[in-house]
Amino acid sequence: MHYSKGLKAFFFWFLLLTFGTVFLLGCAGKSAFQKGQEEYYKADFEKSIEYFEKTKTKKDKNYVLYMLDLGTAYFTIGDYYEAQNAYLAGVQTMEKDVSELETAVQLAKSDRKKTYTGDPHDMVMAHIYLGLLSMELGDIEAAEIEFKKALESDRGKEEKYEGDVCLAHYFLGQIYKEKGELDNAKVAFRNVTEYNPDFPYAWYELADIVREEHLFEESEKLFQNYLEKDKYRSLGQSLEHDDNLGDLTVVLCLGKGPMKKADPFLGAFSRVTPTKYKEKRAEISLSEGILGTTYQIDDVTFQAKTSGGFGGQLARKTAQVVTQEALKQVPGVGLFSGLLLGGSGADVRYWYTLPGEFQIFRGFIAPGNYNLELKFYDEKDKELKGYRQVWYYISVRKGQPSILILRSMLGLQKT
Amino acid sequence: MPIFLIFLLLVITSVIFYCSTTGTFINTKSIHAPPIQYCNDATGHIPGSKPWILGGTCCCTPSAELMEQYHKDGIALDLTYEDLVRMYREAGITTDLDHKGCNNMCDHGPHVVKGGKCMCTPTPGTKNFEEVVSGVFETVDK
Repeated sequence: MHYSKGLKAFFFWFLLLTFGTVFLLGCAGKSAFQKGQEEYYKADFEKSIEYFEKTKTKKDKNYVLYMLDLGTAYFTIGDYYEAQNAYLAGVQTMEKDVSELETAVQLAKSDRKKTYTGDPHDMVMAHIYLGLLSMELGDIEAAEIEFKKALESDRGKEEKYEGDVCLAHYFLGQIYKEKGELDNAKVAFRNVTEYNPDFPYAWYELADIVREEHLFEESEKLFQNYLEKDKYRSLGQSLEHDDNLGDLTVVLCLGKGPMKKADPFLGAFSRVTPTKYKEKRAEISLSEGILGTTYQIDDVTFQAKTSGGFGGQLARKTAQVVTQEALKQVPGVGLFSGLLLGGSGADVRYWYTLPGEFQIFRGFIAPGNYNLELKFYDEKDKELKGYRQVWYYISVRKGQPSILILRSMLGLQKT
Repeated sequence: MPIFLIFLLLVITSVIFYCSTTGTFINTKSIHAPPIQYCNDATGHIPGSKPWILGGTCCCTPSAELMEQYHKDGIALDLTYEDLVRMYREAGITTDLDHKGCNNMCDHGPHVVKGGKCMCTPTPGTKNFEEVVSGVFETVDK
């Protein structure tokens, strides 16, 4: 088949113009917020922070999300001071009492135009991060408060899902142990074993506390549970403490957090949707010896799905529709209400930089400075070479627990 | 040029673009670290090293215990802990006594070894921490 010269030229320029426009719009049409989110997942955290910082002064409807994403970017790069400031700003905005007038104004708007006040799991996760930050900054009292707030914020769509954030329970258990409050510590670790029986370290802690109470038979049973769950046995083959060893915990923020999409049946409502990510666990080696693997302590998508909020969403939607219908009856407003107020589309905004899971590795190790290697594996246990991380000078001290907080990401150490 | 060649060109370009942005990176970072050049609170003090403010390589936060170690090593024998703290403050250098957890990204940053005025302990498990401890870094942040 032969084409005329004119037709060929037309198709060539048409395709060039189409793809060129799409490309340019893709590059030029993004906000600083969107660019910050993109740079975050390209592991360019400094650039991500540069973009997110530009959103800080914009006290607009997405302010809470700006602060949560900015906090996570600072957290990932290790500036815990600024991360704390950003998370606190986000939490304070989420907690702010809205005046009656503001409520009426918000009711008149569509979800997408409303001020984002956070989903229940946003509050939970913000407090989790604040708790981790406080621990890293050595403020155990503040950490205890934040982990408790995380549990209080976890309302749950059913009673069985309320306060089931295992990471909060686990670190509360550690804090109670340090303060000598062994009964509280036992309750905290037992909560972890009930909500997440596959997490090995809570079994170890329970066994250890019960042994202190001289309940040796029960302690042995609990310790057997630990041995079954941790194939690497990084906390040892017995409960006998070697006081010459140090205690290293690695908290891994793994994968990508959940997104929100319009419900396919109830388009006015949003629903939590898991984000796909490849990495499922990390194997930890210290100066060339394999120490163990990380174990999931919390699934953020599960927390988001079960944190409730549908009832609240339904109530707000009902009130919104009633308000908008009422406004349509107002002379002058009625004709333009669709334009002024927007439709009743779902609010699909979400905390973009949240991880998909929290995983933990813990091991008793001889004191020293080590080179830590993390090898990541997918669900078929195939190594993901692009996710590998190596960190130097990780210090383990006798009698002093060390907590290292890391993030999984493709190309994290590409520079 | 036939249409299918243009289409093929677009497909190839898209594939190249996709591959350049996802999944082809392999981390070849060595598991052998450069030696520690500058000690700090996270690495632990290296006996025999002098305080940064006296031209040495110790960036540990001044403390009574650290002064004892210095004196044991025959270093800064004429100085007390208070003297050392005052020297850092007079030089405009912040330490963990002033604030913590900034990873040297505060207004006093970068870290003193990179030419800044912040000697707060950098955050382990970050690129900045490794650069400060090893003394190996490409650019100064300010």
